Amino acid sequence: MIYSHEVQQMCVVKKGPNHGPAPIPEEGKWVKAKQISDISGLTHGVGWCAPQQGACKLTLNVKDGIIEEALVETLGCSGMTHSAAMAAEILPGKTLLEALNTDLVCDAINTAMRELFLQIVYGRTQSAFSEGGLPIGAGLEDLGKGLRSQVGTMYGTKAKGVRYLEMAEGYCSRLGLDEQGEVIGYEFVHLGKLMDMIKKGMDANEALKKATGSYGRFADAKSYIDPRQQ
Amino acid sequence: MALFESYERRIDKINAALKEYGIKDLAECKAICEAKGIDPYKMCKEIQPIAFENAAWAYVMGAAIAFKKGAHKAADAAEAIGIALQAFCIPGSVAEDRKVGLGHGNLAAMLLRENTKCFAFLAGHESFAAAEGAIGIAKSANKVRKEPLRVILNGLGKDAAMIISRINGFTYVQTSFDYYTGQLTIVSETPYSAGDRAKVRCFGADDVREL
Repeated sequence: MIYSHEVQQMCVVKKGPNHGPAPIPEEGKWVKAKQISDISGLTHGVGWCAPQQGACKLTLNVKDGIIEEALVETLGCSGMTHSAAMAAEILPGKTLLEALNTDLVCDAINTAMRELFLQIVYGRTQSAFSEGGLPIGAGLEDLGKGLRSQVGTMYGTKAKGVRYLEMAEGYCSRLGLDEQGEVIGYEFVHLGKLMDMIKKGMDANEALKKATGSYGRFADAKSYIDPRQQ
Repeated sequence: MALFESYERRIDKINAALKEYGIKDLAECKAICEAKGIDPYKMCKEIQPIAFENAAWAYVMGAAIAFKKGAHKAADAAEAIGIALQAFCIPGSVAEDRKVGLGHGNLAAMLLRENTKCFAFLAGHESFAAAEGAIGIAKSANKVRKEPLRVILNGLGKDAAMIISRINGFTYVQTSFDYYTGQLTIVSETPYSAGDRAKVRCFGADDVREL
């Protein structure tokens, strides 16, 4: 570091305030974060690519500035599923700062990383008030049984109305309609549970029956439609 | 279900292009290919399993045009395939406007001709899919070439380049860029397979200057 001639010639005017940064809530403690290693917490960030045709939800569990756990979920573009595969390997073990300057190759994932960084360094994590933070593995809790992302896919037109395709419970196999032809419930197949049963050796048709459920007034419906074929 | 995606928006332009070569429709294209004992639809899906239906049918059409034109050289056939790819571009789309279809056909023709020595993909490393294209090119271009085509994949992201190489069996070339002198040095080369795939060399850059 070099001082210019002008600065060298100046007299000293003493700096008064010296409080450090405002503390941020992290894992149940109030921390004055000065270094990246002062950052801990689990949180989510959502990102999108420039043409906004794909989106990423990123969940990181950070301990002492190091990413210990990463959940990468993507929606909307086939290429980004590959980028997500790479990011889930690349991110763990990096410091939060390092992760910002690592090309995660998909625009949406890079943006999610940036948004998540901002939340976490400003003390807006999900685990801000959880004593000791969340265990490594907490990221998987977002997925539920069968470890599949919570994805909603719905479609509607003015002419033909609404179609439910994917709901939190799973793949929508049928919609139930009332006398007026309005939706009053839906039948779904929980794909995570279905695959778990098939993997254990259960007959696929039996597993399908067991993994099928319904919501709303499905049983009272006047008619049923396949939302993908009808 | 229609034969391929956005059928209604594409079919008139496709049929118009087919008419120029005296072909009635896509069914006749398929028959022309079958008579010659090739299945471009299947070949397309083998190279890129997640290819859209429209892509696979564009190759069927392209191959039929090549036969009609009597394009006996691979490079000439590639140009004919470009005509079909262009016909499949939706009217008014960016792809149509920029002649992406013809461009791809002409690019393929360049790769098949001997005066092209090396094909360097300058693309993102955002998916394994571009890499599959590289495998397809390396495998098929050399069938007709005397001197093997060198294939290089180059994109941003060193970690991604390494993983793509590992998944696809390419050779990962780790480089180090000196930002002061602009000098690029090869740190290491790791082949991830023993076969033809290892001849594809994959580079990752930290910055556009390194590309």
